[in-house]
Amino acid sequence: MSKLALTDDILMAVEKPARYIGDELNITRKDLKDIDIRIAMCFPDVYEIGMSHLGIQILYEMFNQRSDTYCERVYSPWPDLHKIMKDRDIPLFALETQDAIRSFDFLGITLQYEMCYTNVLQILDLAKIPIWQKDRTDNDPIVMGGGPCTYNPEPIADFFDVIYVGEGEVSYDEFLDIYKDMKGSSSYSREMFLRRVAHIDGIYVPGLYEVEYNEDSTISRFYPREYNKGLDFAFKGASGNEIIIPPKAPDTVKRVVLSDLDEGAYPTKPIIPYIRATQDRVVLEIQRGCIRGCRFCQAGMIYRPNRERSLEVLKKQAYDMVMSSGHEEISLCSLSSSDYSKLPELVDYLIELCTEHHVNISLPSLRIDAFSLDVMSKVQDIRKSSLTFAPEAGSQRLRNVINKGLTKEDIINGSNTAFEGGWNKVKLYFMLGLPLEEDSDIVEIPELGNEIAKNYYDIVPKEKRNGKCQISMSTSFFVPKPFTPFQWARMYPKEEYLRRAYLLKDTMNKQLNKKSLSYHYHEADVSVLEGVLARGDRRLSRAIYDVYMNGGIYDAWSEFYDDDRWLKAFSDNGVSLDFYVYRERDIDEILPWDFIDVGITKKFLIREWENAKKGIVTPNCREKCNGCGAAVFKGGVCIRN
Amino acid sequence: MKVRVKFSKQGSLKYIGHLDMLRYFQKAIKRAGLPIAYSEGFNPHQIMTFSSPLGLGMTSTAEYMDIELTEEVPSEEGVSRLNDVMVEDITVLSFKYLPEKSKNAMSATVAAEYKVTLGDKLIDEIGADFNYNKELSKFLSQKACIILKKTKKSEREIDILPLIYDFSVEDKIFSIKCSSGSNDNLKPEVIMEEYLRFSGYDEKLDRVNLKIERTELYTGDTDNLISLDDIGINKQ
Repeated sequence: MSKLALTDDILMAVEKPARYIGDELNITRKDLKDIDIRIAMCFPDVYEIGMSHLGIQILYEMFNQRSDTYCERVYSPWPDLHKIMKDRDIPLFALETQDAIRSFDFLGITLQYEMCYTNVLQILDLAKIPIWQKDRTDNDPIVMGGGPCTYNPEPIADFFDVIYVGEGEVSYDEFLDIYKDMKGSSSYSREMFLRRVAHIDGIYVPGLYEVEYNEDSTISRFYPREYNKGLDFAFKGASGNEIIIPPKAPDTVKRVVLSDLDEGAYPTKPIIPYIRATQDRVVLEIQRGCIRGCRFCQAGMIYRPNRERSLEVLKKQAYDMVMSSGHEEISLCSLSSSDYSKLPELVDYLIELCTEHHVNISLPSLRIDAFSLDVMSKVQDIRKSSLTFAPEAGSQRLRNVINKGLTKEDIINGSNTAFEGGWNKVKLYFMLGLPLEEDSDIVEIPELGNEIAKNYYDIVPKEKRNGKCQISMSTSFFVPKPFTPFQWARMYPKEEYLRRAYLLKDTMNKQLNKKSLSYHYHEADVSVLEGVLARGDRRLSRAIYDVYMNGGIYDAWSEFYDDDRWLKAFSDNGVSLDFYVYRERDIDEILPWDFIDVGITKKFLIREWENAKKGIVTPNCREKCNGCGAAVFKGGVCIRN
Repeated sequence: MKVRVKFSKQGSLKYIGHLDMLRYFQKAIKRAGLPIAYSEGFNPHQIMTFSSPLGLGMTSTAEYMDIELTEEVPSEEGVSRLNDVMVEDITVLSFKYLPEKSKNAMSATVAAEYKVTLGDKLIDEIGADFNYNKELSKFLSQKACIILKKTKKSEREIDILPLIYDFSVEDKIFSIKCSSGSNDNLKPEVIMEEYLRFSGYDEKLDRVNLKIERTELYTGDTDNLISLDDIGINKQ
């Protein structure tokens, strides 16, 4: 029996104690005697969410392949345990060894969405690591961040020692080798280590940079601070090698990319939680990046170029994971599965494998056409499953603005074919508040829903219908993200978002087939807040800190989110919504994330922003290279063309 | 053909609830590659039944699961194939073929046996003067011990003494054999609570201070209890 960090009385008192005991199937166990580097990888949300995240599993696998390194996991304690840990002064611990995080070399935190920022502070606070990076000493773990939010790390830059920009497979080996070499020498200091690793591609050390602001609050200058009187500093590492530290960090931080996906580590023996994780299935990552270039989509830009994993590797990974996990379901992970060039071959293999082993296949993000409907009819129960379209905008005009290459014809043809095949449920996803959106674009959303419903009743004879058709429409409010052509766009106050949502709803209620239509919209206040955090700068960190100190955690959970707490922290710290979200930015403005070299160029983003305003559509990467700049990575679609 | 699998559940797995154990074994059986039968329909599921749920916080050396196989697997091989894919704190102990028409592990159960250890804190509170054996004899020689049993629908008074088949203590470790299953299910912590209260322990019993392990499940009738493990037979 392994030791537990929490006592029986605590574990019996909290909800789902299995979140904290570790000991799951397929975890890595190591003898600490053989270990030089201890890493705690954290997903700052509850266990069931964190355990569903593929990225951490890949890093866990990759770090643990090193014989000198032991990587363990940690997730956010739920508010019930949070309170107990604060009251009884219990330090946050890692699941595998149940040892305190405080004694580790590194704490790596994945930043998947802005609303987890207060949970990052919760992790640091419970781990008893100073929350502010400037307050940490040589005895504290090095706190690292990674994931999509690092494409504008500035609002949380003051809480991190290191931000890793790009794909983990590329630079961590070099990073850890240098750590080991420096740590082993008598002259190790945290400051020297950070100065050294700032020169590894993909590594951003926020503490080495200064920001200056104009009177209008925009950034006037962002630059690396100079030290050691402008001279190199050299000393000997444990291996005897000379370690040279230049007098300042680089001006730009280069994103790193794994050019050949077949070469990356993959968790073919995934950890199996005892309690049901949100993603309770085998996940097969078939590709990274997307060829489409939708102008609102950050993932479509920051993960360029599109790279596919080879069919042979995927078949082997699928087989290994099905056998080693015992999962009842397998799912494909990618931004747009239909664009995987060998999808028919892969699906044939999966159907054969999964039929033999009683595994269900789930196929998300498929474009609805004859092929996908045929596949879906083989792997799903048509009566229960629904078709999903993401037109994102209601009118063709606005779909051209956002470069969403889905036409009304595609949607109507797809749903008609599906109705003939026995389906009767359709889900439609849209955004409200897109740049250049007009009321006429919004009105077209329920009109489209109505037309789809009408076709169902026209096409399917009464005796063959499986009840009414169900067309559900949902909208989120558009949040402009860094490194997209819409990074300069403005947002709107909550009241304006709600007016647009009500316009949609009122129009829906006037439609002939309104009984077959339903509509749901996301919270408007959270969207505005997400907008502030997504494009904010270093001046936000005080507000985030205050929100945490005033009891804010689990902001991504609507039951815990408190808009007033955030608005108060903003006003206390001079954070203006007018400045951060309600204004269109000038293309000459220095943006907080400009120092990151993500591959795609600012020139391309400006061109796309202008094309958007003119309603000009840009073809996808396979049809034509548009010179976005991602070709520097020499991978995937960029070299195949 | 029906197979009864006996397993133990130890250590921190006492915090894993019944439904999660069920999901654990669904995956484990697939990993072991056992030829389990599936139900008909669009979403076929494995044909398996578990013995009565073990309370959260309890360990066990006698959990049971009945599964339907499509082809015979020798008992010894069944045990080792499952143990090859188990986590550390679950061990498969037997893999036995059930006679046709035998009741499943859940409905067959009429009694259970438990080992109850007291936590240090509780022992301190009870005090060194307390004579565990003597108090136990007195408790068992009462005319009746009435408790109020609450269910979702109703409340009724029952006498628990006739439902306790064996209750003894040695070195402050209690052994309890009592009625269990769908009729007159009696929980060991309730028996301990009544015993301590009867003996003058007035505090509200914090159940964290009782370490309970289920050590056997029985079928048959009260005069002739047979372990669930003894219903099936090993096959070579």
